[in-house]
Amino acid sequence: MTRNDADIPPPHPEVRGESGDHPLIGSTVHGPLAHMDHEDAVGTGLDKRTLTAARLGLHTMPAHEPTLASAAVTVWNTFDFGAVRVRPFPYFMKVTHDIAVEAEGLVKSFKKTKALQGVSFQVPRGKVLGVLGPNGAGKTTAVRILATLLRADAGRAIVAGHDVARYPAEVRKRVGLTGQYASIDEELTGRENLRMIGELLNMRVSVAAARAKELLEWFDLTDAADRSAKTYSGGMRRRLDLAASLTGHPEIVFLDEPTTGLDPAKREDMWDVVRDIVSTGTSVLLTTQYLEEADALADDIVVINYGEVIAHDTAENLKRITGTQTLRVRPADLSREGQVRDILLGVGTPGTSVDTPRPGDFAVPVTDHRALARAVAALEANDIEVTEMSLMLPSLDEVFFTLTGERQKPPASTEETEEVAS
Amino acid sequence: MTASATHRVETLPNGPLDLIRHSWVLAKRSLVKTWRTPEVLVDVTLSPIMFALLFTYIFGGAIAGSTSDYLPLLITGLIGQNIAFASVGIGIQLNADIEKGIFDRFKSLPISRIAPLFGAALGDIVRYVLLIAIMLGTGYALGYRLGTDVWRFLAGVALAMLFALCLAWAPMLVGLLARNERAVQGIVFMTLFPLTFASNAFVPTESMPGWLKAFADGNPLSHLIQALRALWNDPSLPEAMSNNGHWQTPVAWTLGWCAIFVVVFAPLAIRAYNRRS
Repeated sequence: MTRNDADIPPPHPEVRGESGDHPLIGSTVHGPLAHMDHEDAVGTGLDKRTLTAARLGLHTMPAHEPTLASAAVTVWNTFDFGAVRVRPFPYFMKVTHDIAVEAEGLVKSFKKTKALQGVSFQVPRGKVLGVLGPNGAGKTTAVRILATLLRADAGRAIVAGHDVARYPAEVRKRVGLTGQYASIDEELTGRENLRMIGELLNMRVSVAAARAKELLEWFDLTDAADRSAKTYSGGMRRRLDLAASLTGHPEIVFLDEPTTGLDPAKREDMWDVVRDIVSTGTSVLLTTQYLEEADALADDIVVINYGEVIAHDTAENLKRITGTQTLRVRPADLSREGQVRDILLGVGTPGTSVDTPRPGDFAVPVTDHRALARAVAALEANDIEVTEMSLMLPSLDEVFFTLTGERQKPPASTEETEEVAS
Repeated sequence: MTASATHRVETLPNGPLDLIRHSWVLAKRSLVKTWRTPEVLVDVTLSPIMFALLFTYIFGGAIAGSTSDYLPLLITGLIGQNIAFASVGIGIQLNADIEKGIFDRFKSLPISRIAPLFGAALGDIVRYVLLIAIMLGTGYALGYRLGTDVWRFLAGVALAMLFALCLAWAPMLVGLLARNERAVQGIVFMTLFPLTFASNAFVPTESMPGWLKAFADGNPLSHLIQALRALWNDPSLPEAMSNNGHWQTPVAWTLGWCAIFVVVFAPLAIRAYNRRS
């Protein structure tokens, strides 16, 4: 199937300026303020968030004042009878938001654990935010709150322009969620799964069938479409799950560890799919344990640990903070160890030493982007045969070590995250 | 790929019929699954036949003097008992749905939170229809005969179905709370055994000690079974088997219990569903 860009309608016109009075839309800050720094703003009475938004040219999401009507809506939503849809905007307004997801001070505790202790971040529209953290850091909890599956104890989250606590139905219409474990019905076929989701999204039966067909083709599941999902491989289940999340053309997709448990080739495939999704203008919030994955996909990375954000930056900067990549060499002949060590010392970051991560392997932190080429040249010049050689990104562990100064416990079984979230 | 994220496909308008439509879509899902694995119907097909044969020939002579005299008492009693036993299926199904993560999908969709529960109950109607048909068929083969007209018969079927659907909220609640399927089965059966045996299902309650008789007479299943006997059996049969054809009081009691089941267990089940994640 070919992708046809002409079919993608242009984004809706923004609601700006003139509708700035609308309590739910908020105001766009124009003029000199847009260039103000936090320091300049001292005494202007503007809060930091407004200014940050102004600098970035973004809207801010104002706090909602509770009213009698909103209280009634909250009660209604608690039982969620589903028959009434809240429409906070007049029907003629087409609203788009520059910020797809905004989490502010999210707090969530389970019986024993504090899963989130005030987590804030934003996903700009059409961008990918990577939420990076080890097992049990609170990633899944955060995603589940944003996807309206859990309620936060405190804090606020605006997703696709709607408060998740107050307008969950509106949020659900606009998001897709792919969890850590495939949320599909194993006893149904792939096609039946997708058609069911389509029909639950109020598509006509024929439209749902067409959409299912389209998705099955996109995700390369056509051949397996009429087999029960029980017979699918792990990678196929993930793809079906992702297809299910995309059935209703969501504005925002939450991907909770989409590649955990997949082999490297399947992982690359999944990355391509994520890039495809982003190319259609969808915003993505992706959680992962792999810096490599966040680096490959995300525009911005939030690092969380023990339910707290410990860094929020681009992948590039994060790698810079963490410093270094690692150059690892495994010589074929161990008697050349001395020479290998000398070569590595020569290309490594000054002041560091050669490490032996496992017997026969020699590793050195490198900062110079030419380090790999120089090492190869030196090995060649000395006629040293090498069985393995790699340049590796800093691992999550190293990122954490740099950010927190403490080593992470070795990753526990994946069940633990689930335990925390349930 | 012509789809784009910002483009919304043609959908039906939202409205008060959504809940019904979504429940129906989810009921279809249950039906397809039942069709694929007909073994799940054993509890409403083969086991009632087994019960009917065993009870007729083991207890028939001792309780009613002869197997054929026992049938008007037994068949209605077994329908009540098996409706109660069959309700464990819905609890197990919901529990499995939670365990497999499919409920996360439903919860993240813009559908009512009640729709998956309604859908499961709706899909179960087929099981109860099958159960009643098989029970009556077996009874007929053994010599049981309806003693009233077709309207009373249909009223009895409708009452039994309604009772089944209302009672189902209790195992649904257990299914949503329990940690795994085996727990669901254990908890539901533990409650159902005293409920089915300490009732008028198999023996007249007159022979029970006073406290047990009080329990058995107030037992919701006893009311249903009594109503079925009054509606279906020949009014000239002994009172324990036909209530002399006076169906109004037991039917009213049964409807009352239906209302109680729904009022108590439905909100609890919805709450448990919302909390369970």
